[in-house]
Amino acid sequence: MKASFKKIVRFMTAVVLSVSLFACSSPEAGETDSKDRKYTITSIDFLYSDIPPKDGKGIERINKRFNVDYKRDYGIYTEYKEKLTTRMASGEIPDVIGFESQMDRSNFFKWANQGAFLPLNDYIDEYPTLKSVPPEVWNAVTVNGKIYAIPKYFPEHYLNTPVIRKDWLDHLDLKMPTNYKELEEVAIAFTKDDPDGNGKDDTYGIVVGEHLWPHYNFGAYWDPNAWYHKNGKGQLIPGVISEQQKETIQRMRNWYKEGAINKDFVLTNPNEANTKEFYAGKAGIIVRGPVEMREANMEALQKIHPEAELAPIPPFKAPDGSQGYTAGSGYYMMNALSAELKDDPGKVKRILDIIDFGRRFYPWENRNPENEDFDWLYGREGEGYEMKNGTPTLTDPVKGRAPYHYMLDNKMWAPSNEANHFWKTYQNKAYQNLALELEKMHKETRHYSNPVHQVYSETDARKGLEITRKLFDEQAKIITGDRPVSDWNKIVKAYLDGGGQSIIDEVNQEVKEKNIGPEWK
Amino acid sequence: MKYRGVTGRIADGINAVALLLIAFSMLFPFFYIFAVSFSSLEDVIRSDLLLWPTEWVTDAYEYVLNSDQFVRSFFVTVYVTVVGTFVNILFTATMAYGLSRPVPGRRIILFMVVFTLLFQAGMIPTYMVVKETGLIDTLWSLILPVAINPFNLIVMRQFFLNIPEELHEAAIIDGANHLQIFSRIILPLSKPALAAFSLFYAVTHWNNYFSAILYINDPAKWPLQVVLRQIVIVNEPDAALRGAQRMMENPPPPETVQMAAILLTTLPILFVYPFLQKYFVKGVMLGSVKE
Repeated sequence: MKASFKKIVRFMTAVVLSVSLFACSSPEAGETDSKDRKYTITSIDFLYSDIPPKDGKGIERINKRFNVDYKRDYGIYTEYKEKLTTRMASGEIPDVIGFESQMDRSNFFKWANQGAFLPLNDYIDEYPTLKSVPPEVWNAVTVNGKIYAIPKYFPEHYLNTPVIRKDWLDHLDLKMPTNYKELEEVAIAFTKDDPDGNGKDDTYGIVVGEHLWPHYNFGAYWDPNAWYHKNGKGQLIPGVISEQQKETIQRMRNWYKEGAINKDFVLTNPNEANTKEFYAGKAGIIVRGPVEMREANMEALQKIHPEAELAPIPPFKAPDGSQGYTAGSGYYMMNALSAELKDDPGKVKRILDIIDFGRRFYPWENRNPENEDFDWLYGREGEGYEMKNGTPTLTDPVKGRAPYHYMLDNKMWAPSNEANHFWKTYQNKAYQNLALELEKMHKETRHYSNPVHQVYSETDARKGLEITRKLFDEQAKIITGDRPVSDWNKIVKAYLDGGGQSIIDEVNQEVKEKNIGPEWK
Repeated sequence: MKYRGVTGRIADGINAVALLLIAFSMLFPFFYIFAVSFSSLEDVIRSDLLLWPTEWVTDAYEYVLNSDQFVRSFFVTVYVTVVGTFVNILFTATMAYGLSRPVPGRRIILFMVVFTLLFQAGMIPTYMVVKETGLIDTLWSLILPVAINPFNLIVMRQFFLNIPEELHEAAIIDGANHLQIFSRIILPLSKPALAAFSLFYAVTHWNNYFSAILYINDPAKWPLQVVLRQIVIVNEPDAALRGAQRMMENPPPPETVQMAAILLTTLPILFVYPFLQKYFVKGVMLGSVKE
């Protein structure tokens, strides 16, 4: 009796003690002085660019400005998934976790479902750069109504679209093609009529690579990657199995026969298609977007054909009356916050402060030393960056002088696609012009918002890439004549049976749940 | 034997041609890398198959050698290779010696060694051990977890077992203890074995990549292979790899930079090979014949 009484007392004391402890560390106590409190913030991500040192000046600057002890790890992109998996599984979860958003979707959704991330819905309205994210982008990172990640910016309308050698068109006195028939005439003329005027039969119309890269289409209606058409059951289907794609493949079969497509395209990787074919002055048509084009390529082409000039091919009018290219997902890469932060709103806010700061958009005229915030972000003029022809250029990223290299998110969230003025990033006149023309074309035409970007299909994440590639490879065989066109249904059936139907079911179910309507913008 | 029939000669000819072809197919990539690394981007774009630079350009090498990261990681790798190999040999040889003597419980210990040869803990448990021992972000994380390769240990033990027992007895009569026997008799007799295993270990350290990715977060401590990978990624053209096929132009690479980095990373270990090849052959044969 006595013993059990003692036990109860001990138990009660423990409860009281732990409750009072809890009270001490409760949010209220933290919140009152959270502004002056120094937080340790850990994060992990990867970079396509050079990786800055752990102790760069940029880190120091972030520590000072945000009153934090900022620890940022970068993994190597190709092994990032393994690194992240190991960290997460060993319980060493950083406060902020960076994700690639296209190739590695399965881990993100798996962990989100397991409750590893902090729902961010309540914070969105407090930050201008989060508020300006459109609903279709939030949809992509929402699981059961909870937003689990903050996407980084990528212009929604600026996917790669077909561009053509304008100088060749002019030389042969041809007009910009406006439908597939005219396109075919141009492609064949590029092949047979010596568009570069060197008297040699060394050119052709359209450059293609393995897996049918770059999935040529002249509007969402024909886009193999757009979920635009419906099947007999009323389900949205990927364009790659649509009747329209069948027509495209038949057309390409004909072009291939005429020599208007490179003979060995099934063995040409995209890099070779770029450098060894198009920028070597052999082909007349390729795809380009206004973002991050490599100027060295254009310079190499100009050494071969000094008058080389590129122009976008505007979208064709489709039989259903639509006219416009497909929009992208509107983001690329993202940050999730650890669920362990749920009891520490002060720290969450500090993290979001840092994220928000890196996302602030400055128009070109404000990207200079006069803009205090920008100057800080880029690590002060003459130190972290230099002004070259009015364009700020970061110096030596491996030195890590600018906070920019370390920010959780350093992609400015632009208020509109046009606001970016990507053409200003080019020194090469021909590219400047091409980017300007592309931006103009995208502004003047509408874009189809692709529903598949807003949903998550587990089957797609697991084997979508693989079976779609295989499908493209089989379609390539029809183009080269190794398979008859009559095999089309067989090929599509193999895709559907190999997991394609599950993808279609999963996508359509979530499209219904999230109430996503096909939309032109 | 002196006289060989026509068929024999034809067979020889076929062998020679086949071997030459194989040798060529192995050398060709190096040759190609060499040529590209010294070429201008324009040359790379223009020619279908580049075999010899039309003009010699050293920009790629200047770029790579001027980068602090590359040079620093080179020394990191040299450090890990030298220290790591020393640790490997020290621990492998001492343990092999112990296990080659009739000490109590050696069967159990040997069994535990063989067990790790067949069954290994996965990536995550190993990571947790490294983490809990406080090795994360230190170069020791690249050395200690792989201090002993069980296969090498067993082969070395076999080598020690082949040393005549009489030598031991003679040494003991002369009043030597185990340490003296080991250092004055066993080790000097095992020089070829030690050389071969040093090479095996050194090459493994030199090429070590994956564990560095997992255990080292500080870019200043990354070994050469990791930095090389990042250089290749920064200069990576392949859209599929970027997963951005639908969004960006894949900036075709300063391919020459990739190639220069690859060559610089491979060369040192490449130079070591031919001179130590004889030990390799010996190493492979070690313990294979028992008297």
